[in-house]
Amino acid sequence: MRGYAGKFSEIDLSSGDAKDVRFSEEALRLYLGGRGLATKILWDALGKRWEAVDPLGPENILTVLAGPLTGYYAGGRMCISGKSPLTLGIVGSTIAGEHSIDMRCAGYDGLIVKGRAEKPVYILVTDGRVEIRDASHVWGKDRIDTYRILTKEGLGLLEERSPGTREWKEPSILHIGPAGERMSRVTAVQTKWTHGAGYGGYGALMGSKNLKAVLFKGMGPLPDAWDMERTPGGSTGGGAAALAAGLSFLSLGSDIGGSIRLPAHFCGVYGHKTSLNVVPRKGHTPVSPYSPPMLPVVGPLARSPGDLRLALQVIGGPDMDAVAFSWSLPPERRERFSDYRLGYVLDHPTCPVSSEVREVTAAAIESIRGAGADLVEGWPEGVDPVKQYGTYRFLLAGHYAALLRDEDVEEARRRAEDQDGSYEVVLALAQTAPHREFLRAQRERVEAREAWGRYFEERDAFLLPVSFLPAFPHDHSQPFYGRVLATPEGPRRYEELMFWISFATLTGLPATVAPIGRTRKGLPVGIQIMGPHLEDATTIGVAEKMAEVTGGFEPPEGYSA
Amino acid sequence: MLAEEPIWIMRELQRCSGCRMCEIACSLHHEGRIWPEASRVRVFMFVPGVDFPHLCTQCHDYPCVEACPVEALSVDDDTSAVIVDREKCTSCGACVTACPGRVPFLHPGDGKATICDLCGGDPECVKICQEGNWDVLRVVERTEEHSYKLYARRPGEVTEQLVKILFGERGEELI
Repeated sequence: MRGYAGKFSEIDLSSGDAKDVRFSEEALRLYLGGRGLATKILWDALGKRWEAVDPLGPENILTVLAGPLTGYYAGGRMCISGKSPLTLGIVGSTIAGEHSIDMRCAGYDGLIVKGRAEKPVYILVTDGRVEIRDASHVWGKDRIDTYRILTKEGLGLLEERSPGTREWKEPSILHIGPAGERMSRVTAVQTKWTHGAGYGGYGALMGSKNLKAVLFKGMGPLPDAWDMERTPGGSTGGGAAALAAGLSFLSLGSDIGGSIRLPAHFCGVYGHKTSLNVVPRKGHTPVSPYSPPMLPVVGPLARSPGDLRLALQVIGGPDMDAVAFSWSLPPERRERFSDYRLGYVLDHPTCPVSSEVREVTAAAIESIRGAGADLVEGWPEGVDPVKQYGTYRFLLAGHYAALLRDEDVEEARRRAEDQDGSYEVVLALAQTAPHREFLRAQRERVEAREAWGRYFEERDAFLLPVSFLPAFPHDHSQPFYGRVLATPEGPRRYEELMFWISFATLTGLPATVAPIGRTRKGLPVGIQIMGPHLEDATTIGVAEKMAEVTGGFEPPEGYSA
Repeated sequence: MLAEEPIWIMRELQRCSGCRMCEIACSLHHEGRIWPEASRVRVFMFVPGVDFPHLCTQCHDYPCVEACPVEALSVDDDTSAVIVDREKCTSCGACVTACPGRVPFLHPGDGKATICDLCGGDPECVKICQEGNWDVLRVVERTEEHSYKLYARRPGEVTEQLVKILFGERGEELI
């Protein structure tokens, strides 16, 4: 499984043996991360006679485990577990520090420590090698002396083994103090002087095994996670990537600028931007529900349209405070896919769709036509995409104006005078516009919604691209709006990501994103299904029926459904 | 953005929190993955809480370049950084021991000498340190007046100095 080095060390302190062990892909997946896997290891080994196991006896097991993403960016928590000397249950007690990264760089995802050493020992973990060494000289020492002595000793050992190659960095150290040695059931496993895995009393478990410390020094890279080159999109990028990898079955996101739809498209999962005010935004951060209820919505991401529907039934409804009324949404418009009257566009000159996305979208449209759905190409009558995009950008920029400080507004006023057509100026103009400008945009918004409403009297749903390109490589070399995105047809501006998602946000209409295939390079492509106001069941329904024609969610290579 | 003039990475070591984002940024840039021991800037912590980054200072007399028996090391005309020709390098380690601060190291992957190249004038470690507002690393203009060699010190020496700053006289007991 990606993210894991794949190897754990099982150490028997009674016999002094250490051997490498592995877990099946299924086990790593089912019992994800340190806490999960610790529970499986402990239950498999001790579950049948749990009550009889003395937590301070040699048969108890100490687990020191990392997860598949431990060390990615500045995260380094390791999970210490075992039968807890304090609670007699299983506690996942985590501890932050370099030890977890050093352990993974040494090629291990975790240690499983059994038995009891006759004399005080420490464990030294280096690249692919686990040793048990005498610790008599540090037994009884406090944290400061233990650290001082073992750091020097570790550095000496490393230099001895590979002299003159580098100034050696210190090994990372997990250790216990005198209280742990004496098996006080409230002692932590410690690192440095002040970091501890304090829950569960696992310091006593280390003490009971005569294990004073564990030293780690790994020289390798972290195990590869999935494709780190490209963005999963945002803002619910983590949620969408987790769904694609099968780490979860449901994610919630908010969407004002494509925050549900873009990640769903980039990661090849389903996402649903709800009709305005169908899901309460109470509790949503950072923008409070007291912001104008005009653009942002909350909605689900999932691996199937059925899960989207289920999620919507759970999270949808009037605000908790709205005791005076209840509501229900209209049912799906059609029972059979062939009865659906759909419209679509593949492109627009203001934001041309790259060949790699267009190819996949055009193929999906042909499959849908082949399935017998009534399909008409072209923008709805009365819908001016360029004008609607402009109104959307104005309202979006203004949405955040309420959060600005007075000095920011002054700065925006100065910036607005530049008139250079850049997005920054569009932003500045919108943030400093007089109220009548806002009311004008508001009217344009209502007109846009009416135009789409008339279209949906004749048609059931409208298909359009989510974005002009698939997941693109990370690039922070320029400020936000100076960034350039590469397509086979040439460079594009970052802000263009806002074009295709703008129509549903401006009008408050529902839009479901459904995966429809992969580009030639294997990157997922989604399609946006816009529908009539409050008829979320229809866009989700179209996505569900479409899956039989265009294929549904496909897990990434190496992952199971 | 490339600096017009040669740059130097100024360092205020006692500000370092030990977050190690510089190692991550450096190894992502040079190795395409997170690889702390292959990072050209390495954070040492011989005493808990006394973390600091260790990186090339570009001495005016470049003892590492002088020491290389096969001329694998050279100085970049534009940036003043030491450039390693990995084809020529024989992994002898002469540059490691020639450096008064023992900053170069043999790469844990291919065993070749590895030294900060200033990212061609736009160092990633500085950007990420600034992003976090730690301000340990800063880009300044490189001038002829300074003796940059003063910054080429072994981590042990640096630690001794830092613990005294941070803990006073008691610091000596911690090393």
